[in-house]
Amino acid sequence: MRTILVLILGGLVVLASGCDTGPTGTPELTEVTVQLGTTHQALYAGFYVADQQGLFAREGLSVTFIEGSTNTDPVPAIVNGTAEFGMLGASSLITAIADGQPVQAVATVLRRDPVVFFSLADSGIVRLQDFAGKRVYASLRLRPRLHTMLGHIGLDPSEIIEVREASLTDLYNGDIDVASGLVNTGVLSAREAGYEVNVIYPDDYGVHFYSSTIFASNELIASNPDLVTRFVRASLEGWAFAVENPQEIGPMVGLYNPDANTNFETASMIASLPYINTGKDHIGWMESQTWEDMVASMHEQGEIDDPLPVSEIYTMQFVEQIYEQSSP
Amino acid sequence: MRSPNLTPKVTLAFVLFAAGLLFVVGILAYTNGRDALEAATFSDLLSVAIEKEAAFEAWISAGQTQIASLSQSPMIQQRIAVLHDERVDDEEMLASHADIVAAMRPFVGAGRSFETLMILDPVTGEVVAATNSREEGKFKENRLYFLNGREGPYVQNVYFALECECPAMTASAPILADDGAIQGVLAGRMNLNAMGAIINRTTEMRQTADAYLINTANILVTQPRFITDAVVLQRGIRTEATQQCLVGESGSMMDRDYRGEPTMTVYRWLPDRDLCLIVEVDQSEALAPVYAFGRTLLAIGLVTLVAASGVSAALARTITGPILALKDRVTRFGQGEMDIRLSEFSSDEIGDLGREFNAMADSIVEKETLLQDYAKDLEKRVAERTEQLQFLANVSQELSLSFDYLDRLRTLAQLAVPRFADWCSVDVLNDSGRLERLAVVHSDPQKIALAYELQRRYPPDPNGSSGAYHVLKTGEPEFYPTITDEMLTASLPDSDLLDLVRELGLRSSIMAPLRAHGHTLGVITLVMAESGRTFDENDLSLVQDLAQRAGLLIDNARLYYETQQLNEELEARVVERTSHLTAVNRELEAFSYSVSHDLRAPLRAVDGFGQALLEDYDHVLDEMGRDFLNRIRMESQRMGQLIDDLIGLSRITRSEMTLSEVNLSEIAREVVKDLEIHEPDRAVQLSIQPDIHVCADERLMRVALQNLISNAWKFTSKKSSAVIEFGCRDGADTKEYYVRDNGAGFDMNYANKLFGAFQRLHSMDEFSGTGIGLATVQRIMHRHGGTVRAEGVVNEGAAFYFTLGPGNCD
Repeated sequence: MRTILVLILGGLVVLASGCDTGPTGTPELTEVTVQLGTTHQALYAGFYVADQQGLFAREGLSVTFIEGSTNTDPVPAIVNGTAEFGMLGASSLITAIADGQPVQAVATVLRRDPVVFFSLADSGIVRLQDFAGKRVYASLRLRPRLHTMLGHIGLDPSEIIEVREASLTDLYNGDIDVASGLVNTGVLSAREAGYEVNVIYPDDYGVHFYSSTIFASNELIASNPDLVTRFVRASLEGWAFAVENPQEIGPMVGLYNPDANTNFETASMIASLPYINTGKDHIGWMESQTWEDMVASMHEQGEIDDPLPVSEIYTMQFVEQIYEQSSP
Repeated sequence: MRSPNLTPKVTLAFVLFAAGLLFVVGILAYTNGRDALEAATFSDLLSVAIEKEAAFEAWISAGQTQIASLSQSPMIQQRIAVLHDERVDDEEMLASHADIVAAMRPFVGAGRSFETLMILDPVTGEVVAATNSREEGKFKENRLYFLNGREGPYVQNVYFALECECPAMTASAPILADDGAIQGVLAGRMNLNAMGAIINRTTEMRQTADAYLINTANILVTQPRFITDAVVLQRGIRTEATQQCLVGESGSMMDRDYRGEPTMTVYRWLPDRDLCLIVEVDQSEALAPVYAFGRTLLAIGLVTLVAASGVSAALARTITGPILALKDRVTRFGQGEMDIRLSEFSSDEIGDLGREFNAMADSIVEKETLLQDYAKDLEKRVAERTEQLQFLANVSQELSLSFDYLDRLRTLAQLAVPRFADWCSVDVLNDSGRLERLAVVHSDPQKIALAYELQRRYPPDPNGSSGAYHVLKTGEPEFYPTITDEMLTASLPDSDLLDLVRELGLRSSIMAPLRAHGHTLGVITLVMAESGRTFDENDLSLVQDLAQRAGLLIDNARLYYETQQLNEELEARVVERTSHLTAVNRELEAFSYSVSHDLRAPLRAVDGFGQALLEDYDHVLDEMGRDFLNRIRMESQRMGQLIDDLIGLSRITRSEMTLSEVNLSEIAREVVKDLEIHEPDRAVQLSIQPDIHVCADERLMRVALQNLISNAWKFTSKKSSAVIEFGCRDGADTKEYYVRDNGAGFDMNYANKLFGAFQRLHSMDEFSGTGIGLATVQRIMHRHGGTVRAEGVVNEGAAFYFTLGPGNCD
């Protein structure tokens, strides 16, 4: 009997919906520009999803991406108004703010630092303590973080051989003992090249850094917080989709970068999952303690002159508002 | 389009009824079965979910218990103390380390509770001992299992562990010294294979049963059954059930799973773990029995429907057979087979219907026969009436042909016989007040002679109570529809006369008065005799109509002759008077013309001698004498002008008119131009309406306009700003042409004197003139069949309006 009622009611609903011609038409969209720090890649998956699935449009936004190159600094574009939003590593953002740039983090995408050190599996180097006497490659930017790690276990940097320039080939050839890079690019490349590697995480040695962070100018945050909320909301929903459907990200990157290796980008996305969804809090969430640790570590290593108050570095007003609205 | 026959309709109705019944019963049975099966399936799934939840909690509890037990191991507590004792040497420290690792190792490995166990420094979080030596030396100071494990037994929910790059759950517990001081934190990464086994374990015989856990980020925590790739913590799922579950609710629903397959799903929120447990089975499997039941029902229904169709068709034929037979007879009857009847009757209502049909058919046939007879009679009467009307029309036409009413009445009598009567006679009242027989008509001339003989021998009695004189006196008709022998015997005492009348064979008669304007002028008599026909009321009405028309004819004819006579007398008088007037007029004009000419000669002599006196005797004349002579001359010249005008007027009267299209506007402009030449200093505002064309004599119209415009010119001479207009306007019956000025004007009391000869309203001192001009204008307009009139106001101006008769210029 219930089925009959359902059929009848279903018919009525179909008829009613058939008569309903709601308002149509597209409201005017607000133009928004995003400055990327690199070429198009899976790192920006949330933006692509929000763009392709109409999440930006739903928020009344029409978003344009300015593609970066290898070492593009997105901060100037945000400060001079060329773009409204950018994405940058958290430590670089702290450096920029310490240098007086009027910008602020509004959400962090990679909430663990994907920068790792890695050695070949049969090298016997499995822990930081094993770095003693070994040739370790760390870029100029990574070196303070390495020193912090070493300090955490009481190992003096002079006890290791720091190599300033190297490639993965040097690791494969035995010219260096330890390489460094992103877990979702460097480590992935080595593994795809057929090498088993031991990964040494800074996270295991007292260095807890945020990585890719969405930021905007202080002026925009103050003058148009609604625009920031809408942009961040659509972006974080995009990353939630990316985390749930990483296999769709590679082809999506291909829409923006025809030269991209879509399989590699999908694998990169999968490798990034633990860094985006850490199992703690929501995607994009930021903790004051982590920012404080980063500032303290960078100040200790001389990367910034003065320890900044973290209130100047990030704001939770948007992420908190977004998750407060979406919570049941 | 013709609708289907009755039999298919009845059959279809039976079949539809059967189908509807089967459908309703089938749907009820099917839905009841489905509802019951759904309820049972959801109940099974809920049982499975509860069992898995309990097993999952038991597994976690077991891991937590094991960690807690191990952390309380006296040996581990002692050896940990050694590791923290800076007084012991490295050898003892290594031995203690080895003992701790050895103590933990039995709990680690495949089939055991933990993947790895480790002991953390309670302050720094450094791994001081671990079953996996690679972990030693690392720092876990920010891990939840470390932070919470220091407080007591704890299990960190599923997370992504960097050390193994895999999903993990870690149980932890503090290692306390005898005095309660914390010496370390024992942490064990639990063997998730066991958890997966619990969740995925199938306890029933369902091929599509599936169960999995997802976390608050929609991410899969255990591997679903139908995904072959490793997706734990690598892929999310959003279904209606997961969304309901992740807002903290538990329940069941019809859903679609991660494959898009329709499923029956039970979801349970595990609040202590922040996880959602999904247990589901494909609807296609769970509801397979009810689908099979539905197919069986459908098959039975179809078979039953086919059988019902056969039975319905047979039943329908039984019912509709007699009806169709009846319908066939009705159709044939309607198509003209009037003798068609039903021969077989059933004993039911349809049989009654058949009998009623036969009775109805008989009744219709009978009434149709009556109707046909009536129609024939009607046709006959219509034909007769048509003939009468035709007769009347012919009579009317004949009567209108001339005013010779005697001839016409004879014709009327001839028209009536024999078509309308056997006899017809017309008698007219003569000047002596007696009826004079005008005509007797019969098809047999001998009988006409007999009739005249009868009248001669037995003239009608002017004082009789019946007959023609009686009709003449009363003005009412006499009508005898049937003349019987008794009636003849009673009215005709003379036996000879009676025999003669009997010989005529009279059957019916009508005598009607010929009347007009209340007077009876004669009598018309119509008689039926040897034809055997008789008159009826319609005939009486017709004869009265005929008599009235004849009466009017007589009256009109007499009036016509009287009028004609009067006209002839009148015309004779007009000719006589016209001849007289023409002679007088001619004499008058000749007199006028000769007088004018004769008067001009002595006038010229008076003027001439006056001039001679002034020239030759100027020296002997004083001023008064010269003045008198000048006056004599001036008056004689004026008289000459008067005579000239009179001659002109006379010429206008006598001259012959030549009509043509005349442009009055052009003539008016030429007249004004002449006036301007003579008085170039006059400032007159002229308004001449262009293109006024009339049919008139051009010479006379020029004279008329010269007089009217000259008058206007003259009577505006004392105005500082004179205005003269010539134009045309629509009058009451015809166009009116006017000459209007703003000059001296005149008193309207004297308007009727204006057009008389020698009539002047102003003195010669004011305005010169002879007083002939407007008389001339009036004469010209009269000759054109038109009129002239004037309107004026003293010192404000005058207007002269004239019209012209309908001239023919074609």
